[in-house]
Amino acid sequence: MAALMVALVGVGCTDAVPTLDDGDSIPVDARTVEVIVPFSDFVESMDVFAGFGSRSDAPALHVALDYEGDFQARSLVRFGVLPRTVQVFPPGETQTVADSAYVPVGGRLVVTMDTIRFPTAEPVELEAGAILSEWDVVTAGWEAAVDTLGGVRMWDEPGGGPVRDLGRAMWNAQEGDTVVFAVDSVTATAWATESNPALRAARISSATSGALMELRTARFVADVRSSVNPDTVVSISAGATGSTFIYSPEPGVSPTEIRIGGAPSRRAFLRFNLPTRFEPGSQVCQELGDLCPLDINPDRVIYAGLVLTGKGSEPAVFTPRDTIRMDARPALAEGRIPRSPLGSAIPAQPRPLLPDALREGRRVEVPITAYVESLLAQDLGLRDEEAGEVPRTVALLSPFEPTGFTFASFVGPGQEGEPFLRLILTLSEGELLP
Amino acid sequence: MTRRALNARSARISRPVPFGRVAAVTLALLVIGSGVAPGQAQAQSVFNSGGLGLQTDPMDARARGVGGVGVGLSGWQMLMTDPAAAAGLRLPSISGTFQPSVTQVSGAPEAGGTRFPLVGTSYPFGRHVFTAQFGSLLDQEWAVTAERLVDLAAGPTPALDRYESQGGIGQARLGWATRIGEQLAVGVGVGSLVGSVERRFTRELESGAVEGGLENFRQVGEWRVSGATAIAGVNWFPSDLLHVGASLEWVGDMTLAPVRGTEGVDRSYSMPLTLRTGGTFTLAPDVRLVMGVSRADWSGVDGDLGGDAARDVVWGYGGGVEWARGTVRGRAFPLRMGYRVQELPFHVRGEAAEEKALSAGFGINLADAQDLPLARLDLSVERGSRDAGALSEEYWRTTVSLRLAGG
Repeated sequence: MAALMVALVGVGCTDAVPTLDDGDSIPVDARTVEVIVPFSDFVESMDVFAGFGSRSDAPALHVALDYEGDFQARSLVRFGVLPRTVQVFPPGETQTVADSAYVPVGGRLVVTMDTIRFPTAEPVELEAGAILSEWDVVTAGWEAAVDTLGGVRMWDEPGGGPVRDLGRAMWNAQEGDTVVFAVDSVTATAWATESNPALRAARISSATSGALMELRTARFVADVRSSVNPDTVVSISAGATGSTFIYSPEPGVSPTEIRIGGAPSRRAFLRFNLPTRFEPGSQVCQELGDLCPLDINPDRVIYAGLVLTGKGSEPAVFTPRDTIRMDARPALAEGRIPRSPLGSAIPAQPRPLLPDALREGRRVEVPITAYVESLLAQDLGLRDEEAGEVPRTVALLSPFEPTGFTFASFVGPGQEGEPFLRLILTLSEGELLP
Repeated sequence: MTRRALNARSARISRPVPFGRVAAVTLALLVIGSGVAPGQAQAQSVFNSGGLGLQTDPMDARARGVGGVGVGLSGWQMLMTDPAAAAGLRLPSISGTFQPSVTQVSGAPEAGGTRFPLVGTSYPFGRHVFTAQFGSLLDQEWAVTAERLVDLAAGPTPALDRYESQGGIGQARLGWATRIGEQLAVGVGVGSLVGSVERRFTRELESGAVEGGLENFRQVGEWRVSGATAIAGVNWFPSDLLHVGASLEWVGDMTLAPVRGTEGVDRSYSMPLTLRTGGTFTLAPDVRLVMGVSRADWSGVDGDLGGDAARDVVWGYGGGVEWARGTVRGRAFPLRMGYRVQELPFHVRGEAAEEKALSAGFGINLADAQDLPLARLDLSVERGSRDAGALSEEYWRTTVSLRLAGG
């Protein structure tokens, strides 16, 4: 009996909503339209600032001489202290003893170069020198050795000079990645005994015009003579404790361009003032025709994208050679721009941009749908107060700052190809109830 | 308590089915019921899309099995369509009905689900029997999809429109019934329409149309249902061979009030006055003929729906036979067969709709105390169809009712 009932009841072991395939039965008449909003209709103001992050935080150091015109780059490296003692065998002894009174007699500056990302077809001549003036690893640039607030100090010679010459060395990328510079006893003694880390430093530059290279590591190897056993010479080394690269020219910001990235990085801040209604006669309504006047509310927005038009970086050497990423983040404290803390990324993931996508005339679109919906809801009084205020200013940047000296450049406001907002709206007519 | 003591206590119960078996069967049905049933009643028909939904009468498995209209059945029971039928219940009772079904729509995927069309409880007090019942009225679970092409700057972009209706309209009712002499029973009930309706339109554009993806467009509305309902009925037993019943059900304007931020104002729809009459005629000592007819006037709602959306008058009729001589292990095991035709009030795709079903079923008393059934189970299976012009669907529907106590 139970089995029979189970079988009969089992007739209904399905849970699926009956679905008609009949558009005429849908009482809602929906229409999806695409709207191009001119820059001046949705952005109140725009500012571009430079100076975010430090060259020393860049993932790579560069060396260049007259690359693609007059681009110069030099790497500056600080070394740590040498070991305080060396272990040597006193004459006739079989046990080593610590010798802290060793005497430097010379040494080597050992540099490794990147052979994959920036290979050079021809051998390149590099030159090195010991830096003779104090410099700040975080703020040093081509002109300034120290560039902190209230403490600017210029190099005696722009470009990290003057230096005590350590000579030149040839590097052939096809043969290896290591370049060795001989260090004389005077310099070795100075680096071994100098307590100021800023002066235990070397500058590596290119002596070959037209080359651009990437320096990976640098190490100072000192040959020291033992005071316990003067016949013994020991090699000891100190690795890099800080490094940066300085370059020239160093483009700033332009009011007619949106620049993001570089080292230090640039950010563009756009203050949004979204329209909530398109009125007949407006530029937007010329496309929309009889749909105007058209109210814009968050429910209608199914897509919003900030469209930027690529503009080759000037000088051209600053055009990205590799993928860079672009982020849009709200500025949480507008009064503190450009140092305002930033909120969560609007597109959850940074947008990777291939170098080709940044060429002049190419368009890059940053989806900002969620942000536009939130801001519209706020402007229309539809947003829950407990959800907090939506910042009006959005920063465009390239995470993680800085990525390199190159930067992305886009056409700014008032120019042909200025940014615009692409909205896709769905409008519905008809009632849900019969 | 020892097993012997248990046996001694149950000795007063005639032909007891072991409690374990009753529990097992009940448990099996409940497990199956809960397994197939979602949190709320689910749809079984695309005909739900017509007007205010598919009419779902709150009938139990016995009424379904004999193809009746839910009035004039022999014996005493709780039926929302026949308030006087509870007048003879001698013990407090609780009953429930669940109804799984599978529907095959022409040219569409199979659909199905489970609903609970009738639950209730009764409490006799002296010569009076009071009832509280909850039953179905209109099922509104359905969906429509349509593929479109939307013109974007990137070119024509595929889009899928989906319109969904969820929820249902039921009625909660308190009733009273009593017997007047040996040949007459009367009953009345008053209550309210209950439930909610949610309508959702979604447009989903192909995500690859725009870098970064497009959000779906959603338009959602939810309404709470309210409205008054009342019913009065009479059962008459002119002889041992004939049992006649009738009921008149009134439902006031049904109001849908927007909730949860839904825009708009209250919407009201006129509901029908429904007259049901039926009877049971004993053809032979164990053979009963059941017949019934119903008439509902839905003309008022037509204007509310914009005209030409509903029939003016909706008829339903049906009948069947119950053969009560069958037994299983000495227990009564009535078998039933029936056929029913029900005009549906709302047009579907502009066409008048109708439902027909052939049914069969049985009942069994799982436990008796002398002549009082303490646990009774009824089951019916219907094979039916619904038609509206070119649109048609066929369904299998099982109805299971379980009543505990009641007498």
